Amino acid sequence: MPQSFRLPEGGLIDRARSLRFTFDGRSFDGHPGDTLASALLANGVHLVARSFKYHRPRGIFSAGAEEPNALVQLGEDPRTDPNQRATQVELFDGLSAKAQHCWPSLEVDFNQVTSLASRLIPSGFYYKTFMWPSWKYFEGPIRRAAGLGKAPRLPDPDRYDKCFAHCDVLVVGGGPAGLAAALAAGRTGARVILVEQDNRLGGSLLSAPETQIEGAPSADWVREAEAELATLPEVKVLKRTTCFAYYDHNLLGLLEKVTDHYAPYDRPAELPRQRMWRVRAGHVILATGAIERPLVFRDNDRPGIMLASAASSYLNRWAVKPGSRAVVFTNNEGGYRAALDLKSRGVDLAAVIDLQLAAEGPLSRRARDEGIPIKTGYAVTGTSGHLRLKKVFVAPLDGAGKRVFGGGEPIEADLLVSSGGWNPTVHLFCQSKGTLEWDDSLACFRPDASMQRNQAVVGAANGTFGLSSVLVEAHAAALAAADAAGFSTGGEASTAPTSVEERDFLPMREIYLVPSIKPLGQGGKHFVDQQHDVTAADLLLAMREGYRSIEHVKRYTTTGMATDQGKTSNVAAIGIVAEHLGKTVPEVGVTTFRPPYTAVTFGAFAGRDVDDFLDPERTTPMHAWHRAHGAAFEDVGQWKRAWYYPQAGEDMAAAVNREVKAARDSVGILDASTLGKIEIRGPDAGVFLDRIYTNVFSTLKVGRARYGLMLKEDGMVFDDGVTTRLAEDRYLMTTTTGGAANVMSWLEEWLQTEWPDLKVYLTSVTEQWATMTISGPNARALLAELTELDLSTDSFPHMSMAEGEVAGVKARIFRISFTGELSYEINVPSRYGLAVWQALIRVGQKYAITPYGTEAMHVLRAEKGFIIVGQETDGSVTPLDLGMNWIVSKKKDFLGRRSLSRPDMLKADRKQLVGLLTEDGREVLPEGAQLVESNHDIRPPIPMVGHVTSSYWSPNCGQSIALALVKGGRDRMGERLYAALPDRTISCTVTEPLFFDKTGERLHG
Amino acid sequence: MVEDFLRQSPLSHLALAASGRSQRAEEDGVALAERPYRTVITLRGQAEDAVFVEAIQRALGLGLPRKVGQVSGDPRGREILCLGPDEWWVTDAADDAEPLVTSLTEAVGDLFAQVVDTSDNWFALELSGPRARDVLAKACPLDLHPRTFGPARCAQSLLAKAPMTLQQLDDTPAFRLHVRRSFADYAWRWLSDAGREYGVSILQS
Amino acid sequence: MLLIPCPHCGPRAEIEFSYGGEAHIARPEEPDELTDQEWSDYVFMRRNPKGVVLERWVHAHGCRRWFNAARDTVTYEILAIYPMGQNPPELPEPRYL
Repeated sequence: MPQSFRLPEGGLIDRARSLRFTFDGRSFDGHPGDTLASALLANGVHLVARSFKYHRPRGIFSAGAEEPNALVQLGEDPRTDPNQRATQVELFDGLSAKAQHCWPSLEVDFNQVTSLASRLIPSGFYYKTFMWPSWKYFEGPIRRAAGLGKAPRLPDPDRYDKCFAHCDVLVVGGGPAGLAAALAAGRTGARVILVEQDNRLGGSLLSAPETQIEGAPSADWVREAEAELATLPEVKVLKRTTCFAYYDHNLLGLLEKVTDHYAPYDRPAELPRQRMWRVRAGHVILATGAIERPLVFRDNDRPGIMLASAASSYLNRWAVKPGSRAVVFTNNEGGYRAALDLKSRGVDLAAVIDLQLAAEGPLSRRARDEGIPIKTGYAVTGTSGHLRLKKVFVAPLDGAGKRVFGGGEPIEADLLVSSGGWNPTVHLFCQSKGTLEWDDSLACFRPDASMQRNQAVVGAANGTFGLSSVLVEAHAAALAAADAAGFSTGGEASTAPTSVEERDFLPMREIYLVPSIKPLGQGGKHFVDQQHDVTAADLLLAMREGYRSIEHVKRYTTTGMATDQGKTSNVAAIGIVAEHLGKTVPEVGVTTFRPPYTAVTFGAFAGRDVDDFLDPERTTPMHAWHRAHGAAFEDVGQWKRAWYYPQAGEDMAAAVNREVKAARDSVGILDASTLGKIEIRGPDAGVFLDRIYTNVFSTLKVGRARYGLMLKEDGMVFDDGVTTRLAEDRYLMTTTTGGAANVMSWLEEWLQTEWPDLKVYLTSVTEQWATMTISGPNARALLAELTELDLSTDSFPHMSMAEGEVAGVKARIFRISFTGELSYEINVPSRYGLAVWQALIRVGQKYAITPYGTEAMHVLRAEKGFIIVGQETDGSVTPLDLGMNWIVSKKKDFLGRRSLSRPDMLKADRKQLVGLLTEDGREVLPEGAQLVESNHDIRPPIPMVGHVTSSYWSPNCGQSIALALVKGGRDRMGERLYAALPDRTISCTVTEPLFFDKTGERLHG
Repeated sequence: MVEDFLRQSPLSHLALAASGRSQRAEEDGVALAERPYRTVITLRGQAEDAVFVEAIQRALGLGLPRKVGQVSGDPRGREILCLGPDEWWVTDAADDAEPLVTSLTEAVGDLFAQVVDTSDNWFALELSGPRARDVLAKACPLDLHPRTFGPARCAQSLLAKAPMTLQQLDDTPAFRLHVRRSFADYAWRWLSDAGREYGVSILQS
Repeated sequence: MLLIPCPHCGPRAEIEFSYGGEAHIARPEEPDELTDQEWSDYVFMRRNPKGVVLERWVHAHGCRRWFNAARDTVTYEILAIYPMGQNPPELPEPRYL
């Protein structure tokens, strides 16, 4: 049955080429230019899906983005996309699609039993029924039975791209309005981006070949417009691109499908699959058109039932007959266009059923002249046909439109198209917080006031339906936008394209719920939201149960909440609620529009920022050496730091123990380049530091260094580090690795916002310097071999700095220690970092120099009880809690000082820093373990008295050591506490937080 | 003076000096090159202090740009980038910053100003070619259209997730991108990947 | 995503900026003369009105300068920017729909 519903001529398809595709395992042919939907219809396939809740057979309902039914699963894992609208999937050779949500097959779906039981499962059924003992027991099976397509199981193999773009005028929609706007704005020289979701420009004109613009067929005008736009250097036309979101300040999100329409074997490897554009537009012109509203009648969901305009599109654009014998059901004059199209393309037109009492417009007159049977004042009362429409039942309607007479006269038909008026596509406008007004004459919501500046809505999206008016309106809006963007107009460019056509769909008779011969909900269903299987009866039930706000009715019934976001159902739902409540439609109001307009795959949002690019990996100048020497790396913020250097046969514990021992026994070397460094200069630098740090820096002598602690204004420790006075008006501050950027911002904030009178300049030099720390009893001897500096304690004491050459490179050397050993921190310009590191390693061989990583550093400092900000502190710890009163000046004010005397800060039961030794010294406490006072009284609630912040095996102490924050800890010395683990407790004793070299002799070598 | 062979570019693991081309291949949309070791000196001072401005201009032989985003001088030689109302970069083709640091330090003397060698804090790479703007648009929210940006302009922004100082060198267009040294590998790989659809020529450093 | 007019760099994307909270909260000159309550108010308490807010921003990935902004939390419109240490300029009437 090769394309037996394809018309012999016409359509925007390339008949010279055939494309082979499969749907549900069956092979078909189509042509370039087809969508999956048009190709299926050309092959006589209407049944394409089963519905969400009742598993009812469903067909192709529309010809565009509004499609509620024809959702398919495209492709195979891993390249598979669920819920793709067949009406928007561009056909390519080898396309493979499957029906979703049916088992075992589309034709025979066992889950259709839910349809038989549908009277038992109204809205809210799940909420009301599956409550005991808990929803969680029911959720799995119900979710398996419900739902739409399947997400891919394998990682996405495709690449996605993201980019920023800027323009003076962004035009959304490439129909007549959008084209007229883009031309008008583009000719002024303004930067214009025109976005069209389709693969062709033209919009509604593609389905209406008889329309004329500039005295010629509109197709010619579209072609010329596209050609002209291509010649304008500042105009970019993006086809296959959907504007899915409208964010603040005219930032719009676009999704461009770059290679989705290529046959898999043809996809250019260098191109991303899809590209997300983030466009910042000076002005936005929304020319998003309108979507036809279906009529809500009984059993309005069978395959073979579609929108009237969709039938015209399939006939005219794709040269496909959507049926053999058709009934047109309309409430407006515009519905007769489909009747005329169907008749002229050879479809047997059984009747036009018109809710209007009379039809006297130009289209209906033409239809009558052509001999089309017209029944005005009639309604469709129901349909029959299981997998495809077979019969349409019609009956006369009473004057009020509330009931029908008689039993319903059957009409044989395999196609029923309906038109209930048009809804401007206001989604983007509403996302941008524009408000809508109800237009009584058009019976639709149309844009009222813009929240965003520099925004215009034109054409059908604005409720302007006559082609001639559309072109004039779009042209004027574009010129105004260009003018406001600074591009003057005049002469040729200021004339709008002309058309004589005022294609209007009025008059219409507003009836939202078409009555049937039986009461609502009996003998059939009036579907409002076909994708979520929400019926008119569900809406009425919600109202009987007390829901009044349309937002509540929406959530309770889930109408408009499926993947189509109710594009064909929302206004009907509002209309039905309004009729029932005796209110007007605007009184009921609309629900909130949110992005995205159509679904966007996660890959496009992620773009390039996945895998290796998920987060930058920052590396130090010595990184290559660490890698070459087998280092394991630890993530510290974005930095990759050498964690430990396992040798052959060593596990982490063995490597760390060896490194820790080496730093105490001879000499170790650590890459400390990641520490933050800030150069501070100015006459007020000392005063500034006094305000920032808890202790005094203005009295520091030149060439000397001091450890300092910074607090936030709430008194909590924020960062720490050593600051050195380089000159009378110059300091070098160091910060923690993770805090470097924050500290820099913090200092600038205070200087700029609170103390602009202080003369201080700051410059970050974190990465100017490669920093290597040599630590251990042989550190001095090693350094002496590479520098001429006098390293004796007299001339280079602890907490001081000297400048000189190390291994021939100019260096700043700080004698400071984070291990408790004699240590030198050598800083050289980063470009020489690796060379100097290698020199130290080479010369250090005679001292068995051992590179140590961050884990060994942590152990070494914990043996000495030195804190790490972010490990011992968590934003709720004061210097007093840490027992660091010695660093808190009593003589001056500093940031956070006043908070330290707040009553809460002085409580005796605040958590305080202590040491912990396990009863069994071999046992290492887990970091983060909660501490309790008893290991036998375990009835909840058990008072938590603290937690372990750091815990290691200390090879130098020969036992495990830990630091902890414990309530009133300093008064608990010697007390027994228990670390509570899921399956046991570990007994430990509270000690001073200092485990090694308690007198500090080793510091001096 | 330290021997040159002791120094390392943060991209030395890519061995660009040996493998790169001398110029962009005709069919490639962009060319990418590293520019390590250029002098970058951070200068802070008061633009409203005529003595400061005069001292700097005399020391450098260049006008001090006052508007943020302006650049004076020769992009391939010595130039001044205005990064903030009281912040500039003095960059120079010289790969030893010390003489310039010394002369600037002497020039500002006791004035309320700051001169800091930040040559190694930053890493420069150059992206040029007809599609250079398209590659940058993937990473950077700036509008680089010729109507809003151009030669002798600079801006600080983001390159994907790395902070960046960007300047346009000429109308090729060629851009110089400065990222912190530790971001060099990230930036290089990111741009190479982003340029793939246009073709990327890797140039010798 | 907002488009924020940096006083030095011109309009830039919000991702280049950091938010600095409510503006015009001066650090007390003499913290010791404040009651605990007054000090806590300074440290912790902030207004969160619907409508115009005066707030601080810093062009963190740009010129790193701080400035004040008047922004409407209903429309997200930035009504004015003005330097640190200055009072807000006269603001246009909010455009509520």
